[in-house]
Amino acid sequence: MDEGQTDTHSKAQIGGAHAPCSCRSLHPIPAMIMSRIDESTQNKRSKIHTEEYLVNMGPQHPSTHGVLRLVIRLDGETVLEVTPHLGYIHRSIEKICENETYPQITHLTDRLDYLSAHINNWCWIDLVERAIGLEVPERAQVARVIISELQRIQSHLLWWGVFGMDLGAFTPFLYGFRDREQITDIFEETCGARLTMNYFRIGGLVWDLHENFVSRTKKFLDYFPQALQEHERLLSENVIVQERCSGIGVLSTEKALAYGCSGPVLRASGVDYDVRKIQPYGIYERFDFEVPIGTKGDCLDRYRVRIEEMRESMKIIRQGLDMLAPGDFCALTPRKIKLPQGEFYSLMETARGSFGCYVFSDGSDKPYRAKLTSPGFNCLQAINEMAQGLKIADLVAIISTLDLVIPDIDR
Amino acid sequence: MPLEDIDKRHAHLSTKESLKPKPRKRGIVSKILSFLGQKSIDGNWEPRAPKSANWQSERGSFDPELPYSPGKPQKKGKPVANPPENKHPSQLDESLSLSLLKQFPNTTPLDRAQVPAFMIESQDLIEVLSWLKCKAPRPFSLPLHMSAIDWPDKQQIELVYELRSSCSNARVSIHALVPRENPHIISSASVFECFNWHEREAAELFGVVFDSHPDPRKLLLDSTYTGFPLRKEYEDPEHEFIKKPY
Amino acid sequence: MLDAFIEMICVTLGMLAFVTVLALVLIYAERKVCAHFQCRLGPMRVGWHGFLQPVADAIKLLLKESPIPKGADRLLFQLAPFIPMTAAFAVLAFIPWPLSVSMADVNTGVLFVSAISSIGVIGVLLAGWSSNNKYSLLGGIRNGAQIISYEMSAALSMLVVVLFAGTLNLGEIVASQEAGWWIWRGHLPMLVAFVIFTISATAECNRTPFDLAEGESELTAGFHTEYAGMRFAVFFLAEFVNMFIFSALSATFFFGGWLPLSIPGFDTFNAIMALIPTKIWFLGKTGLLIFLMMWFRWTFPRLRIDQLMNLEWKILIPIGLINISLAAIVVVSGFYFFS
Repeated sequence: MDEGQTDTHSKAQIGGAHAPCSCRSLHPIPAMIMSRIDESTQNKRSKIHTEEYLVNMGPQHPSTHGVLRLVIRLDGETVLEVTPHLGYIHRSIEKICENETYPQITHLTDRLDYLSAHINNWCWIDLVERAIGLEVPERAQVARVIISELQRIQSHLLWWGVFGMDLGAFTPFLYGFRDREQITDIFEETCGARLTMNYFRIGGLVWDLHENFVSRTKKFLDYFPQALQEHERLLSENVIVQERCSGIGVLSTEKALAYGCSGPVLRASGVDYDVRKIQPYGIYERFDFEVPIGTKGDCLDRYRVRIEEMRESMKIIRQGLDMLAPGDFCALTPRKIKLPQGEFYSLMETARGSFGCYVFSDGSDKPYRAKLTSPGFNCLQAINEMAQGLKIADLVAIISTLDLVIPDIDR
Repeated sequence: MPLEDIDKRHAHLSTKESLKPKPRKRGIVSKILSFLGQKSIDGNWEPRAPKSANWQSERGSFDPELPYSPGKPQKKGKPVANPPENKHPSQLDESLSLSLLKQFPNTTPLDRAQVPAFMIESQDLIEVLSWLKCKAPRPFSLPLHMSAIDWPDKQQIELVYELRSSCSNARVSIHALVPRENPHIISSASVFECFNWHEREAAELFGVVFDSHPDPRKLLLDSTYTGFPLRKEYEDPEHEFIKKPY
Repeated sequence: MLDAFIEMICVTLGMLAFVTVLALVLIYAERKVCAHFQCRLGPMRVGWHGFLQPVADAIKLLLKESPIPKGADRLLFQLAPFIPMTAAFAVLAFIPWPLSVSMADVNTGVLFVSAISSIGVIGVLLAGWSSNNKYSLLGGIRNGAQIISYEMSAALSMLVVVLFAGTLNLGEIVASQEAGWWIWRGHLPMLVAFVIFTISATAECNRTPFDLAEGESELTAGFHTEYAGMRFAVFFLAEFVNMFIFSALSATFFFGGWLPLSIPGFDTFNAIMALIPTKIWFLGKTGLLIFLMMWFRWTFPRLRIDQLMNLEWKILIPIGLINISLAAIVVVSGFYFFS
């Protein structure tokens, strides 16, 4: 399907178990990868003639988290090379942004990473607000932080459930969704929607928080720590999970930096980079929370970083609820929002990593060029690095711990 | 430990394949014991988080030569209260500007941005990026993205490379212009692997050709797609209404 | 001669009817158990609390088209589902039903059971190969390796029971437990044997944590990816019958088969326990063990293939061998309860 001399193998089609590679000999595997393939496979490679084959984990697959196509070159069960093919949900959002006004683009940003919808919205809105120098009222600021952190917990709960499902335990999926449902109900009551909420506006919120918001959030915060404890007992302390994730998919610090990974992937590889701490936006500098950092960069570290992040988010929400005071929920905004000429940036920490917006404005009410940086884009590049020499089951675990949302990557 | 030294260590590590951890091998007895229900194998794991106001200077315990040392819990501290560093960098970083201009005289600082931005010659790209990664006063080891802007009236395409530092809020934006008719520029995938896919995307959406790119295939679009969608004159033949103003 | 023949036909038909009802009950049980573990209700609409759901499933599977993929080996593709089914049904003949009735009372019951249940792997391998699909091939090969490995430890744990009981005949193994069930009579070696047998049985039935052959998140249904409709129903049926068989064997070996709980010397207690009919005892024990297997499925994630093989060859077999030696010592010295 693709051209280019590196893609001669794609001629071995899906389902064609007997279609041979166009080149019969074994491909030379770089030394770096040979060291990862264990002894037995290496010996096999040298003594017995085995043929490599391509398997297509196609756009429709239970565990590619969206429409991601992975072409995997395998030798038996060992992964030699993983090539992601993207673009199945490319909606040219950046092009659409050039024809929409700034408030309209807000509604597009949350369709990217729909599991961090609020945070994506806020990133765009933050860019516009700082560009036109708009001061957002205190109540809206605090509400934004609370809602973003609830969104983060919600996203991580879904990730946790899907992680369990990918490993073969179907029950965590339902437990994760059951707990996530409480947050979704809070959002439904306050924001009006369950997935792409669009609750933030340039200047504040679209309407004030619902009167039940605080009580429901408090109820959730009373319930969730114990539920998280149970979830950890189910998966984190399970020997099978630890065997399957410990030491698997190691992403070293320098590789994580070179590939531009961000978020829990980067933090699990030992780099202390959280946009909320390094470059606080909103009123994050007033909150006291920690950033969990891993040491080994394997799947288990990424898993644990996210679980700990959920706990930290709960802390932030508690502090936010204490800070919430009556007031305006939105500032007065100009009717037509025109950014001055120039470049504007904003960077935020979504559940997946650093989501950035970059706008080159020519002074009109539509951006000349809008670029949306997706965190998963960089993380997915590293998959070849992480998965070579491992088994298919490990590849599934790695994709799962990368926490990819493909619409975010394809934009 | 000063910030610059930490970043330098990060940067120097990226050139080597060194520090790959070996997978853990456990003996049979520990496997049996763990199978029989020992709770957590890796009981030493603790979240390692900087908790004090001076977290930037207390990074001495982090030794990037051994990135996999077991996490030592750091002492609790007060929340960071409006340190001057943590606001958005809205003015040019003077030392960066001076040293960059000294190293690469053809660079022009741009004052139109919220982050330090520089316009460079397209043939200097690899040197500038490598210098920023390793030898700048505050090395920028974490790439953010690479994008392009189309200027049909100037007949140029502007490439924007965004870098950031992995332990401070320093950011830099490098701009390079390529002519629209013959948009060739050297690929920066050798410096930062991150830009591999960003360049593929820019190539298919803008038509920029990256010389010696390791994998010049289309990324997001179908391989049979013609035209460069993000160029300003691009018109999708099937959807005329895209161009209508709202 | 003719009588024997007619009797054989009747018994076979009876057994087939039993298997059908069993499959329906087990499918319903699986769905309800799964649902309640996941804090939800499960089928509730078809019949009272959904108890007619398996009937609806059966009708759906009957009416569904079962295509044969292009390029598949037609004969093998069509043949493959029936081999595990045959193997499973054949083993049913040996299980000692209440009051010492079994369809085939052979003196080497354990050996037969072990041998015939291993024929099922051929069907899985054929299914994986003939589907002309890389996923199926992977699943089939994995399953082949898995099943032939886990038979070893299943056999080793069955041998412990044989050592204690002194016979390979399944009916006599049950009879030998009149003085008490082996699970508590044979203390440590028997407990270890039970654990090993449960693990091996779960692996033989392709249940999580050993279900890589049909690992849904990796291989989109593995060896039965290309099977739909009635052919898939046959695989499914074979899996459930297998589950029943291994639970029944486990009950037979370790829990006294159809015998009630009795402790020699406690006559009143034994009499009270004997009030409960033996059929209830047998089906109850088997049911509890099936529930245990279902519990595993909905709790544990899946093992990776090399971890699974590692578990078998490097952990379970050595433990099994040591266990057999220990059991032999215990038996010879008579150091078990009520010898």
